[in-house]
Amino acid sequence: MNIIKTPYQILDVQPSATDAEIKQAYLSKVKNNPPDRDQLLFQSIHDAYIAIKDLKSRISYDLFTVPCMSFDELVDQALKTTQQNTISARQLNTLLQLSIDDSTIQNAISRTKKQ
Amino acid sequence: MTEQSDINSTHTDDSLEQKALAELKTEHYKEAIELYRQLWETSDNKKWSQQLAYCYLQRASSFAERNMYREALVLWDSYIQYAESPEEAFDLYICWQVQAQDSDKTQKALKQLSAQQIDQQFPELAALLGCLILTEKPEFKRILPQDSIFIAHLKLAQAALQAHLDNNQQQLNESLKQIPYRSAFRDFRTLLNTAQNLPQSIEQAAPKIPVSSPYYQVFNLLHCSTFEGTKLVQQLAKYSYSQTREIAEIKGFNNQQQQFIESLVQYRDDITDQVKFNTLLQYQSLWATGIAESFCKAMLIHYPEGHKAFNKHFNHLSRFEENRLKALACENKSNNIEAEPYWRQCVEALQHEDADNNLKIALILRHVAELQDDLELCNQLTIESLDYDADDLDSYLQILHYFKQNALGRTEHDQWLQTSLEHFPQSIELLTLAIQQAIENRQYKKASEYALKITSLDPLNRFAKDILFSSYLDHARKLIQEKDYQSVEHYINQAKDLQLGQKYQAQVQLIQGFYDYANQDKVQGLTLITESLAKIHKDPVNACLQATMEALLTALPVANILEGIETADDYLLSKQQLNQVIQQLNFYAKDFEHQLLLLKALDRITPTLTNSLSQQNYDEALLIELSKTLEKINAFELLQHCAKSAAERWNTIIWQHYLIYSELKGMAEKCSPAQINHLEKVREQAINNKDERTKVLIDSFVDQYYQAHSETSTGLVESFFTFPSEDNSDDVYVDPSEELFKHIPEDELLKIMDKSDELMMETTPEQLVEELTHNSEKNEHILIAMMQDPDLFSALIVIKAAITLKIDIKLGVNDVLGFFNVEQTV
Repeated sequence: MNIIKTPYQILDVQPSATDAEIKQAYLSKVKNNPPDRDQLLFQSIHDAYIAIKDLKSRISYDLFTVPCMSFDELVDQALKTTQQNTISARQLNTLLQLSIDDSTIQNAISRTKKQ
Repeated sequence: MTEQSDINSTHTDDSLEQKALAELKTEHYKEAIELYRQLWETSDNKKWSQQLAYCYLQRASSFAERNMYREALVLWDSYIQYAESPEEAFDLYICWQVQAQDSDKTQKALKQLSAQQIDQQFPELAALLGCLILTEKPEFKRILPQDSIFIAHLKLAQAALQAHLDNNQQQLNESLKQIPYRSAFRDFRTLLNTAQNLPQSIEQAAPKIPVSSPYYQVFNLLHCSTFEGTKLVQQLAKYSYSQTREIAEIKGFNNQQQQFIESLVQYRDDITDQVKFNTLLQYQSLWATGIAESFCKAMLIHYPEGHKAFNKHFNHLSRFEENRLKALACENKSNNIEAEPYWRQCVEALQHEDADNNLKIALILRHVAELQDDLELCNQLTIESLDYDADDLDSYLQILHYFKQNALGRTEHDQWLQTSLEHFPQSIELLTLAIQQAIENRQYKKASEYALKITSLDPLNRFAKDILFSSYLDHARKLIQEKDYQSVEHYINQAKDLQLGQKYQAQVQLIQGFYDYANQDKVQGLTLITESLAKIHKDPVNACLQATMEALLTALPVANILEGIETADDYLLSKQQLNQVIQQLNFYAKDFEHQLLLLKALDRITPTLTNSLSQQNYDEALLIELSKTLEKINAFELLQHCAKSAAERWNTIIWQHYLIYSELKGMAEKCSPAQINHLEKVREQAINNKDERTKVLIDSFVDQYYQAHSETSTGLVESFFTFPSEDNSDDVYVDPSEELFKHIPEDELLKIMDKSDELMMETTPEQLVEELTHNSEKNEHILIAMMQDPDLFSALIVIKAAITLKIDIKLGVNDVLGFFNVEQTV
């Protein structure tokens, strides 16, 4: 998973790619993601191309941009485990034990107005 | 008496009962209890005891809701004294006892529960007790009626749980199957089924577990365990530490991950940039190498205070990188001014590196230029950037734009245009600018050369083709005028070949007609001229104007040319046709040399124009356009007619200006003080009306007036005392009355000057003359003389100032009038 989406990653090109390679990648991406299908994606592809289309653009990008980052995606990556989403009987039992508190009883008999 | 007493007593009871009922209905149970107890003491009315019981139960429940179970239980004791069948709310009593953690009393109460009550009467209590027995109160099992259905289902639930723990799927399913829908363990069965098929089963099971179920909480915990990443952290924020730890264990998180979650949960409502930065630093091992460093580096823009900590945890940032991030952090806070020194540091750092950083430096300088509010500074930075990267067309265009906007930058603009063209000789943008500049400088040949270059690069460029078209026809005209007919055809064909459309072809045909008339066949020429004009214009006025102008430009006899063209002085021009006249005038006025010819041509249509202006209701905007054009070509008479006719219809300030301007034939120096005063007043109105265009027009005219009267003074009176410049050149105005006041000592003269300035602001010419002469017969002559020579007004003001200050200057009004030869006139 890419936490930081750089224009290079959006266009699937290496930072060392030439102008021609970048243009080729851009045209291919645009062809597969036309604006009427997903306007936002198309816009991000277009913006990525504008950001790195030639040497000056690439140097400008390096100088004046810091790759945008998502803290949430970082958290997602940090909490990734290989463990399957299952629960053992012992764990269920523990959860059951831990679930009982004052509110359990209070919610259970919540009616009071009998008459 | 006894009867009366009974009646009184009954009356009091009714009133009390009503009060008690009112308190009960408004849920003021304490007050209601007090009143009902009073009533109960007077009579053991069954209804009152029922109400008392109800009030006690409600009060007890109210305490229980606030977790005050012991108080609730005390009130319960009062309740059962009045309740007919207290067992109806016995489930509440048991719950409160459990909550109050009085084991003996709880067990005692549970022993009183019958099988019927637990199986049928109290299903919620049964579900709760079932859950408690399965979790933390297994001892309750033996106290409850063993012959109840509840106990039978409890055994099935325990067997299922055990089978689950033993991983005995078959036994588990069998036990669960035997628990019917109407059972205290129905939700437990749902829970176990869900747990076996996580996570798919969770959404389906969600609506089956009601909020009041004792298994609702465990179900939520189970649900929480199915979330991942950020969503999991958000869910965990709702739970206790031990519950969070257990879910973390279910998810298989290691210690580092668990601590990471706990840290995020701790700041769940306020995860600031600082918290994010510090959390990333602390738990960087959770991500692949370099990820945390990249993030923290990016975070420095939002949290610049983290630089020190960053350098401590990761590789030290270079001087360039450190300053770059600081600059970006400033820009992130929209603080561009503070960003600039950091960018300068970046440039310095790059200059000291071995690598070729010229392009980087140029880009930084251009970036800093973009941040500037000061346009001059922005331009300087852009120019500086070209030292590092000389091949940037945008920079040249920006520089040219700056100098174009700057009135003092004309020379720089021309120089930069040449430099730009040297770097980008094939840039159509630059060539277009070059054409515009050449036209402004009246270098039409140069403009044509640039246009030709553009058409060689872009054969469809309309602007360039228009320029070439005008240029070819202009050449053709000049050759006809010089009777050098050899190449006329060539230029006419060149214009034709541009293929600009039918109207353009008609223009070519018109010149061809003039050529034929001059060189070959007059009849054929006139026919062509008439035909082409008919194609170009729908009215005789525009046709006449163009025919006259073209005849004048080609030095052919106007009267002969106009023979074939219908003329009509009483023709009234439509709005569109008047607009066309304006366009024609502007077209021919482009060339300064044509101006005199244009005035001659305009004479031909003046009667029609004045007639149309008087009779047609043109809108004001059109008349303003016409006035602008007439002003440009110095057609003062027509302008005056237009201004008069417009001023009658509209109060717009611009007409006040044009009335004076046209009356004086554009010669500001001839303005009378009264006219200047009037113009200055309307200028104020223009400012108030936010009419910038009129303000600028008046400013320019008034400035010309003051410049004509004095190069250095700021006021009219000061002009008297300004010494002539050394070179005494012709364009410097020398005041004739200087001689008049030169005998006054300097200190007195200065005082008189100050006073004169003051009086000038508050005195009209009429007032001045009235005050100084007291002779109404003379006044008119003096005022006329003032109109002809504004210096007379200023001189008389000096006299009035001297009188006001009681300074004897040995001069009187008659001396001044004599000096200006007004006496003779009078």
